[in-house]
Amino acid sequence: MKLGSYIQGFTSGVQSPSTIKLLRNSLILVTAYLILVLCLPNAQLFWGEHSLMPSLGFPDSWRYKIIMALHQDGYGNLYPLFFLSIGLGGVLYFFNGFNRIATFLVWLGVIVLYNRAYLSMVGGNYLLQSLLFFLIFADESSHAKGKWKVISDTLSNLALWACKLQVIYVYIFSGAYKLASEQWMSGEAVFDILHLKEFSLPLIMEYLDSFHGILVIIDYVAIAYFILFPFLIWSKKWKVPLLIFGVIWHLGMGWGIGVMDFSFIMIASYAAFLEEDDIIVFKRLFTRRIKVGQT
Amino acid sequence: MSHKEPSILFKKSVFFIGTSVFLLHFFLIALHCLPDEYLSERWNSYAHYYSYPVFHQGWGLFAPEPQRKYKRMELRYASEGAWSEWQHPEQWSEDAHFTWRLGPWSKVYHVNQGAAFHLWQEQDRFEKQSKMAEDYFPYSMGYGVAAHYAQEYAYHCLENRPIDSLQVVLIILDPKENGKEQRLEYPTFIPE
Repeated sequence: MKLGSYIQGFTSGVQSPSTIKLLRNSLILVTAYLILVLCLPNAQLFWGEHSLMPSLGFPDSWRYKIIMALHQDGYGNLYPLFFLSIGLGGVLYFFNGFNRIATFLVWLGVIVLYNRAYLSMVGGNYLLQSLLFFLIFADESSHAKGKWKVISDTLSNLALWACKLQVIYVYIFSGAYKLASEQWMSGEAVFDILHLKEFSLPLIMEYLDSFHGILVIIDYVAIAYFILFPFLIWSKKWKVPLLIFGVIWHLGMGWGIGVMDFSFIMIASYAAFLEEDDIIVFKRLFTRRIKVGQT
Repeated sequence: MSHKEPSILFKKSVFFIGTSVFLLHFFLIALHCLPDEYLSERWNSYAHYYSYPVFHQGWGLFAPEPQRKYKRMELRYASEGAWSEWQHPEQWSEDAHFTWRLGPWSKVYHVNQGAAFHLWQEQDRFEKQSKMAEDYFPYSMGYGVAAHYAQEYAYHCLENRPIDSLQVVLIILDPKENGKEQRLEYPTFIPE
């Protein structure tokens, strides 16, 4: 395809509106879980006057002043406003479809709240913040016209690519670091992680030595998965099996090491790779399962 | 109102500006993700300045090297001249975290472990310098995080008694070394 016609297509319509919608729905759903189930019951412990985490200093810059708002003297007790921001964003999105404003409100609430509750953050929180940020620029149902439409559609298409590349970065860098790690390459990493009470379960720890061989295999499977993901995800043939494996992998590891929030964020991020065709396949699979279940 | 189809020049301009910002963003994020020793000080400063605090990539996924040691804190409090028993703050949320992985207590457990992890990292930095513990820890972040945690733990979990001072110890356990624990003591902390 010539560059000119590619640019024409890229700037004259949202290329994958269903993908953007599915990704936004997934991320907002995960955010709802993080906020309603994990954060709200702990609000008194994480934010406000008696937070378990001390306020931190930060450089004198407007970016830090916004993101670290709750670290500033006199602002710490304003945390309910940021819960409100997330709630308002969710309501706006589901009832009115102000996609950009709604996502901005959710992103702002998430990033400010989590930056104050920094000890509760897992790696997935950083991924969630980045993906929500990119989706601020996407609007799959924009009614813009003329030049504004060109800008809106280009931003939407770039935002989806940014989400995809962000997830790829997680796998590329984490995979490359694993390849450079003696512990991972010796096959002992998963065994070592599950040996630590904070990343394990009493039941797992009890039988750890008996399953040493299996854990070595899981270690190498993890490395292979992380390294292969950025390549196989573009293959029509491999994409769906790869994502299904990823879902099982993240759920298993999340449960095993006790970071289910991280798992849910990773799984939600997979929506960025589901094209219209894949979504139809999943919908068919899902509805067939439900029908089989009903009969 | 009818809208004229924008010119291809306008579309190309929007495309190239958008794509340039996109590429620059991911270039700087890639630099931010690389080990610091791979880049010059100048490039590190560009990448980190751009990435913090909005685009920090804090996902390690246990890479490069997963932790090998289990850490926990013990805390005790002095009130009216008498020290309390040593408290085990991880027990506050541990059972719930093990039993119900999807619930809010998991996050409380992570906060407790996060405080212990910060203190452990500070211990590592302390061992690489020459100051005495009394001159080093009161001004360090890791000890500050742990001491603040201890102070607020008392507020949320213990009887509401005035605290004159508190102590934190860090217990480190290497599961592969026959369960032998290392107990590290820190200067007494006096709350304001």
